[in-house]
Amino acid sequence: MNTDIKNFIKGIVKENPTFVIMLGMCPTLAVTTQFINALSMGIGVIFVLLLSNIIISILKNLIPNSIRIPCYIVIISAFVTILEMLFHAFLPEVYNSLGVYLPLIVVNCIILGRAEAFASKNNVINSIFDALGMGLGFTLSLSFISLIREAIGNGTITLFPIGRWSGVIKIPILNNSPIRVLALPAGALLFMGYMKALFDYLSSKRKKI
Amino acid sequence: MTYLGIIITFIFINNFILVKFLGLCPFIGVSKNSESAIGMGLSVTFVTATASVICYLSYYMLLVPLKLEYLRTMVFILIIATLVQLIEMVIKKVSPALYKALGIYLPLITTNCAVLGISIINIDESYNLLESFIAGISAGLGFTLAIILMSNIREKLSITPVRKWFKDVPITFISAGLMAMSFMAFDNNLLINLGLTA
Amino acid sequence: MKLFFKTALVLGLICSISGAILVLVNNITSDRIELNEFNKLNLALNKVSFNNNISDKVEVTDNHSIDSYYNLMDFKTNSLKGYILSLKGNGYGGEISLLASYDTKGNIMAVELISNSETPGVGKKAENKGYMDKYIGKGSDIAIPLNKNQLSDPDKNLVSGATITFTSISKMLNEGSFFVKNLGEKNEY
Repeated sequence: MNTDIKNFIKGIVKENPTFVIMLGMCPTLAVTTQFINALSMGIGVIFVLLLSNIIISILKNLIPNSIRIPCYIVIISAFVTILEMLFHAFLPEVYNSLGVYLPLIVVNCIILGRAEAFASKNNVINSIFDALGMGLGFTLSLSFISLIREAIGNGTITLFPIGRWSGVIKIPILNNSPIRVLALPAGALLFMGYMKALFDYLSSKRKKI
Repeated sequence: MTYLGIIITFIFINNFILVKFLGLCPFIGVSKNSESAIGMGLSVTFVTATASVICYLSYYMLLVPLKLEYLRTMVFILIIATLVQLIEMVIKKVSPALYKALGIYLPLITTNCAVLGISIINIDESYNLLESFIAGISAGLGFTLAIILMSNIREKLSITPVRKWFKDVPITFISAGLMAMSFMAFDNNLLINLGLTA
Repeated sequence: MKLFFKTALVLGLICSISGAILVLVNNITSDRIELNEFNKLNLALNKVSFNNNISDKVEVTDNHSIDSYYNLMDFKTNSLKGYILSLKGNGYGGEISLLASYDTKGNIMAVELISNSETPGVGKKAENKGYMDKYIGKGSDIAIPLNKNQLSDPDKNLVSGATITFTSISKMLNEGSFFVKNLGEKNEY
C-alpha cells in the first residue's frame, strides 16, 4: 500500500488517538456534551495539527535539538491563538461554548506528540497525511462520543443553525425523558470506560482473524 | 467570591479532574500506586500555585499595558515550560531527596492541562492576585485528592477479579465516573447554604 | 558559546515571527470581534426595550449583581418608562449574564439571556423560548418566584433538575427589581 494512504488510515483506526493511544482526553470528555462543540473542537485540532506539522517538518533541520520542545510549543501556541481569534471573530457562539478548552489545544498531547514523534522525522508530504489522519481520527471519535452523549443525555442533536432553522434536531421519546447522567461529567467518564473496553474487545477480535 | 468559597469551588465543586477533566492524562497514567500519586499530586499543586501567580503578574503587568492580551496563551505556556524546568533544577540542587521523589513527574507537568487551565481560568474569572494564588493551590489540591483516591481504588482493583476487557484503563474510567457521581453532591447550593457566595 | 548564540537566535527568531503573524491576524479579526459583540448587545437591547428609546449606559459599581443600566424612554412622549439592567450572577456551570427591562415600579417587562455556561439538557434549558415568561409582570405587586415551590406545576417541571440555574436567575432579577425601586425613589426627589 502507498505510504501516504497508510499514514492517513492509521490515525483513524489502528492508532486512533482517542480510543487506542488515549491522548488528549481533556477535550474529548469536556466538549462532547453537544455535537457542534465536538465537531468544532475536531476542526480546530485538525487546523492546528496540520499547520504545525507542516511548519515543524519544514524547519526540522533548522531547529537545534536541545531547544526543539520550546520551539514546537511556540509554533503550536501561535496557531492555537490564530484559531482562537478566528473562532472569536467568525463563530462567536462556538468560541463561547468551548471556553477554556480552546486555548487548551496547546497542551493537547496529540499535537505535541505528533510533532515530536512524526513531523520532526519525516518530510512535509508524509507529515500532512499523518496530521490529516490523526486529526480526522480525533474528530470522528469526538463526534461519535458527542452524538451518543447528546442524543441519550439530552434528546437532541445540535448542528449549525441554517437560516430560520435553529439547528437542533429533537429526538421524539428521548427528548422528554433523557438519561441525564450521560450529559454530566460523571456520565462522560463512565461512557469512556465502556467504550475503551468495547474498543479493546473489538480490536483483539480483529487480530485473531 | 470569598477565599473559602474559592477553595471549596476548586477542590470539590469544580474538581479539576472529575468535573473539568483537566489533567486526565497523568490521572490515568500515574495513579497505579498511591506513592507516585502523592508525588504527582504535590508536584502539580506546587506548579499550579506558582504558575497562577507568575501568569497573573505577567498578564496584568506586561500584556495588559502593552495591549497584547491575545498573546496570553503563548506567553503562559512558555512561562509554564520555563517554570517547570527551573523548579526541576532548583529542587535538584536544593533537595536531592525531593528530586528523587518528584523528579520524574516534573517534565510531564508542562503538558498537563491543569496548569495552563488554572492560569487561564484565573484571568477569565478576573480574580485578584491573592485569589489567583488560592485558586491555584486549591485546584492542585483537588487534583491531588482525586488522584490519591483513585490510586487507592486501583490498588484494591489490582487484586480484585475484573473482566478481561475491563482490566486497567476501562475500569479506571468507570471508577472515576462513579467517583464523579459522588462529587456531584457538591454543587453551588453548598456555597449558597454556607453563605459563601458574594 | 557559538552554539548558545545559535540556539538563542533560532528561538528568538521563531518567537518573533510567530508574534508578528499573531499581530497581523489580530488586526484582521479584532474589528470583527468588536462588531459581533456590539451587534449582539444591540439585538438584545432592542428585544427588551420594545422599540422605546434607550439612554446612554450608566455604570453601577456598588452592586455585585448589576453591571450597568440604561434609562428607558417612551418612544412617543420621551418620558421615563423604566430601566434596562445588565445583570450577572453565578449559575451551575459558571457566570450567567442577563439583560432585563423593568417598568418604574420594578415589574419585569422582558428578559434576555446574554451568555451562560450551563450544562446541556439541564441548566441550558434557560435558553429555551418561554423560559423567562414566568418572570414577566412580576416584581412589585406579585413577588418574583425565588423558590421552586412558588411556581405553577408546568413551570416547576421545566426547572426541575436545574434548580441552581433557576434560583440564580430569580435572585438576579429580584435584586434588579429592588435596584429599580430604589432608583425610582431617588428620581422622584
